[in-house]
Amino acid sequence: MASEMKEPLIHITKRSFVSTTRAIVVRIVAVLIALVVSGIFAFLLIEKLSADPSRIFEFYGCFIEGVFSSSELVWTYFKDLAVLLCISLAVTPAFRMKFWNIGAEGQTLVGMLGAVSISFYLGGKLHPALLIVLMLIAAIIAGAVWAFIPAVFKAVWNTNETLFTLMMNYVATFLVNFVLLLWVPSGNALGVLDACRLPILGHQYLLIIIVAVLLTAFLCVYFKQSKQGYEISVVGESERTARYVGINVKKVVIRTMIISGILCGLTGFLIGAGLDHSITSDAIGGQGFTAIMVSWLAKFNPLFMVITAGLVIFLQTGAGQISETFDVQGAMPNIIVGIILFFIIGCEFFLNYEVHFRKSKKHAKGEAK
Amino acid sequence: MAKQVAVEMRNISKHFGSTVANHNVDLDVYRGEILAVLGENGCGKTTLMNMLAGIYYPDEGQIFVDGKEVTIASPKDAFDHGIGMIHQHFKLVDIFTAAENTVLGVNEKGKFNIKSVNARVSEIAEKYGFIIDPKKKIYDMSVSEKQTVEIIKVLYRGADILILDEPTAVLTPQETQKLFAVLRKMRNSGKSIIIITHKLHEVLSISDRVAVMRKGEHIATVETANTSEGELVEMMVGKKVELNIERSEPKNAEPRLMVDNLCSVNEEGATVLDKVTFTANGGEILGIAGIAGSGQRELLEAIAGLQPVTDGAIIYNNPKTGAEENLRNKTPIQIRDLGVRLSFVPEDRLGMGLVGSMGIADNMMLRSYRKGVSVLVDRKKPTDLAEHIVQELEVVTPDVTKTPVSRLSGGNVQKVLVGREIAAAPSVLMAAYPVRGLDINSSYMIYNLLNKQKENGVAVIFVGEDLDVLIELCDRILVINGGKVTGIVDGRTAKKEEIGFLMTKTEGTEE
Repeated sequence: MASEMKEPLIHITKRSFVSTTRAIVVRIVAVLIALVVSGIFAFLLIEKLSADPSRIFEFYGCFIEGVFSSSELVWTYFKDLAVLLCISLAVTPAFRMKFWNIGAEGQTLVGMLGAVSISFYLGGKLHPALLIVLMLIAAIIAGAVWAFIPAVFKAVWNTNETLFTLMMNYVATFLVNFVLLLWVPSGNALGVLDACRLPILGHQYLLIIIVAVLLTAFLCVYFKQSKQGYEISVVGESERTARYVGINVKKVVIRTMIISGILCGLTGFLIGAGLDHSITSDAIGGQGFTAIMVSWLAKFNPLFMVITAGLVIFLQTGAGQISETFDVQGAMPNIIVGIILFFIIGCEFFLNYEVHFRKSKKHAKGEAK
Repeated sequence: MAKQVAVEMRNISKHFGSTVANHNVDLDVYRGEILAVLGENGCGKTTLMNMLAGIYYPDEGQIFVDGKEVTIASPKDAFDHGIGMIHQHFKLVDIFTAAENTVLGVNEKGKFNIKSVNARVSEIAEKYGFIIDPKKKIYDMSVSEKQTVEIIKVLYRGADILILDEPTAVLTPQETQKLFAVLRKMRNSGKSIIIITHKLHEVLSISDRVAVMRKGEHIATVETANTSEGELVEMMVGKKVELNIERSEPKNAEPRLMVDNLCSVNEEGATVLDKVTFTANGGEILGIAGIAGSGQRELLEAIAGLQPVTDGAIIYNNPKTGAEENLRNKTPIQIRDLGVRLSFVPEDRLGMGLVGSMGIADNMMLRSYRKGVSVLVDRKKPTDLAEHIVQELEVVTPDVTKTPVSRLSGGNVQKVLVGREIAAAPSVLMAAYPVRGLDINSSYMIYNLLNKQKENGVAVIFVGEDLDVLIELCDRILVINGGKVTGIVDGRTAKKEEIGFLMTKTEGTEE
């Protein structure tokens, strides 16, 4: 039976079909394993926890506490969710076309810069309502231009859009640094600009939350029901099919990227005028990259993105609470978030593939004999 | 001479996910025989042979070589047992010579000496009657020469059990005859030859025995001398099938599409169409024959507005108005806006004709979604059309909106595509290899659909690979080689050999 050794230990085959129950069960199991493993890591790495293991429930409680312990925290949670959701929605039109735009960070930042610049130069000189409109237009144009440039290069010269959009992020960061030095030659931070303020609807975070809801609804219809959304799906699936039925692929690529850029610019406007009232070069704080993951996890479906963005913000908020409660600094909270996301993303493998072990075959053979 | 068993396969099963590729297959191969493995596409014949060649590993079952149980987990194991496979798609390094490709991957002791390799390659070639120059580079070779290199590669490694996967698919009738002569020589020198095919007349002319497979199972192995075409088909399909194409006389044939001196180059700047001139008539099926890659695809795509044209004209004669339009270098949308009803069933069904991840209804929309001024799509009409086609053409699918077409079987995918193109009420219908990969029933259904279009006065252009079918179906057959038209023959009187000759004819060389 020495020859048996040659059979591979593990066979991996692609699943053709996943039942809904199975999908839910696998995901729940993944979350449970993630909680256990992150607990073990926390136990090993957090001093206060290893000293007093009974506080492990407090550890898990941090996730709930971080979000729900006060109404202001709940508002903050939904604000953070709305910002991440807006950027995630913004990258999605391009993603559905299989145009891997990882430049949302830069597109949002230049949008923000556009809005803040208008208020910096024209603030106090114009009617506030007019100023707001101009800020919005500037933000949208800036975001669109930042997306248009890589789109044109892709459509005309077939450059790699991933590298191009990535590098555009750095250009955006340095552009903001440059402008800030121009405005504040001393190198100090740019303070709050009073002109850079959106009117407050009820609660100061309500506006961006409403925009996120409207954007989600709009993109749902756009992708599923509009002719342009249909063209995006066809181009994403096969450019040859698109050309065969007479779709102008270049036009669709550029148009879709401009839509992505406009939505990023809009989000930048909301962050600049609605939340920060100022700008720094890291104002977006990596959300443009987190948005890529949110969009992917939701399989580019705007409705699912509400859930995935909600989950990511939930974990981040909880991690912040952990560092406060257990007095840990540095990367520890991010490690916990990373572990949980690892399991949640990793479980997709078990939904798409089936794993067989060699053992089963020997049994079958034994029975035959 | 008592027959000696070379290979025995016992109770072989192989699954891919939930798909059963092979189920409890038994197969014997003798020394000094040619065994044909016959079956429709997707019946598991290639999978079975891949397990013998070490590409796949069986889930269950045993393989014996010369009576001893063996484990074949890699192509190297297969060679160690003297088994070699010549795949349908060649695996050669283009910039190497025949001899260099032959020794690639062979671990011989001592210093590498290309001269002795060349000599041995020539020796093998001579022994079996191949014609090959060991120093010729692969990129200079014709398809049949490349196939010869693949066979020599296997012989060089000492294989005495050779598996050939659809070896004649890329050959002209003349080349096929040469290959068969070589295979017979090998058999007479004691080698076992297994030839995978779905062409019946080849089975009857070359093999000693035929193993018929259907839906992953081995149905029977019969002596070729004691069987007939009808019996084999019945075993392949599981029921009696009428293999007749009803060809009617063309009625009121009138010029519909006149292609004049059409020239085109590809992205690398090589000429792919060279002064192509022909006329396609309404009410007639014009066949296009040629070795794969001779410019068939480019020709159809140039007409459809997908391939840039450098010279010449494509004149469309509108049957309603009598107006003539030049379609040269117009986009598909411009062509449609001229009122030209041109339908095109491309060779690459899921990569070009359809969107694999969408349902049938959304695929119907590909042609019609632009209609109307609304920014939203209308899904009602495409869904109705999808349901109509599913019913009319007996498409097997769970539903018309949700199930992606890539999940359907090849025959059903093709019915969806052909159904959509015919639903557009074309006046010109172009179909590239519309029955490739289809089972016999679906193939005949497609032939009937094309015939019906012809009777309705449509100019049908049919690119085919099976010369027997072309001769049975088409009114005229245009033969193309290297982007040039080498002849147009009458489908009713043409002989296969004549077309085969035209398929390889180049100017200046008379064979």
